[in-house]
Amino acid sequence: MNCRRVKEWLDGDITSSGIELPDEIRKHVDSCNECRAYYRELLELREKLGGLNNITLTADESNQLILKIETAIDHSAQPDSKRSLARWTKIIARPVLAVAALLIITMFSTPYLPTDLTVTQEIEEILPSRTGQENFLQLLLNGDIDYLSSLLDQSSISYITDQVKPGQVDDILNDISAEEMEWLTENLKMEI
Amino acid sequence: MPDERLLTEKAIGGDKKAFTALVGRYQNRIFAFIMRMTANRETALDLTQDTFLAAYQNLAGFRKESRFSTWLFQIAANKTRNFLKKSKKEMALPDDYDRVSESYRPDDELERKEYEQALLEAVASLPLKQRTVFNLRFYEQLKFDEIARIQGSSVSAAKTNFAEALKKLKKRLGGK
Repeated sequence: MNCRRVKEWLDGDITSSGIELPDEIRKHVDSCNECRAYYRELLELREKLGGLNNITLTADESNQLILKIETAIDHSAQPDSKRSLARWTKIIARPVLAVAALLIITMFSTPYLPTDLTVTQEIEEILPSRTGQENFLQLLLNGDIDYLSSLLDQSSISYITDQVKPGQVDDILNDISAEEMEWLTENLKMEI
Repeated sequence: MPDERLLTEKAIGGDKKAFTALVGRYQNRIFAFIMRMTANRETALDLTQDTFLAAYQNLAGFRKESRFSTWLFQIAANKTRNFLKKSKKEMALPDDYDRVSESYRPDDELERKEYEQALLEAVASLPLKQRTVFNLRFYEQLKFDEIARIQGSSVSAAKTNFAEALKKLKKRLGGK
């Protein structure tokens, strides 16, 4: 194992709880001055950063926080599927319906995203840029339900999957980049 | 102590006490994560509360393939990111930067707090993505695939962000 790979391994494995060296790495570090110095440097850094290991709430802050949360949830019924659907409808269902309808039409005519895509006023309000509209279509087409599910409740996901039927065209689209995902979450104004 | 999965099931089923027990279990970790992201106690308290309320409102959307704590960190990371972007709060390097670089171990309580704040600001001055990945990996010891899921990125991007963050912190805190 060469020094570069050892250093990469050390960098990837350092956490506040320490670095567990496998035998192979340990042997190299023991026999290589450069890597041993690098390892010591990392241990020193870990010790310094360990100064932030014990951040906690005070007892008062903790009690206050729980009290505030209890009060807030007592005053709001837990969102059941009907409530979620109602909220979902308010926030995003109308544009999704419009996009899905558009999608169904375009899927019959071409397997690719339409270049002459036209959007309804509702979609424009939520996704003002052309890129955003195309990204949203890609997200639906790609059926990236795992990511969506981390942002939306189950009834909303079911709603999307019922409307769009992912998998029909998922072989024609590339993955959405992290930046596009970030753009989507921000521009769709999701609450989480 | 009840199992996390059992508490989560009960909370999803509408048991508010179970949800409160989950808050009690994770409040310190979520608070500490947000503190290290923002370097501001009041902000961290507010965002911790927002995180748990959002989790409660969206319990039905929690998919049990991931751990409940991972899901909470995802919400906390998004809340923090949105807050920082809205407030456009750019973290400047701490004024007592050099002091953190020295092999300095304060004994006095006041000095210890100042030292901790300087460290917090050094971590919080990392670019947002690097800061998030660094906090989740170094302090919360999440696996890179969990971090990638939280970030909506690839595992290799998470590793790269961690390595970059480490490099910057070495430069800032290592005194070399």
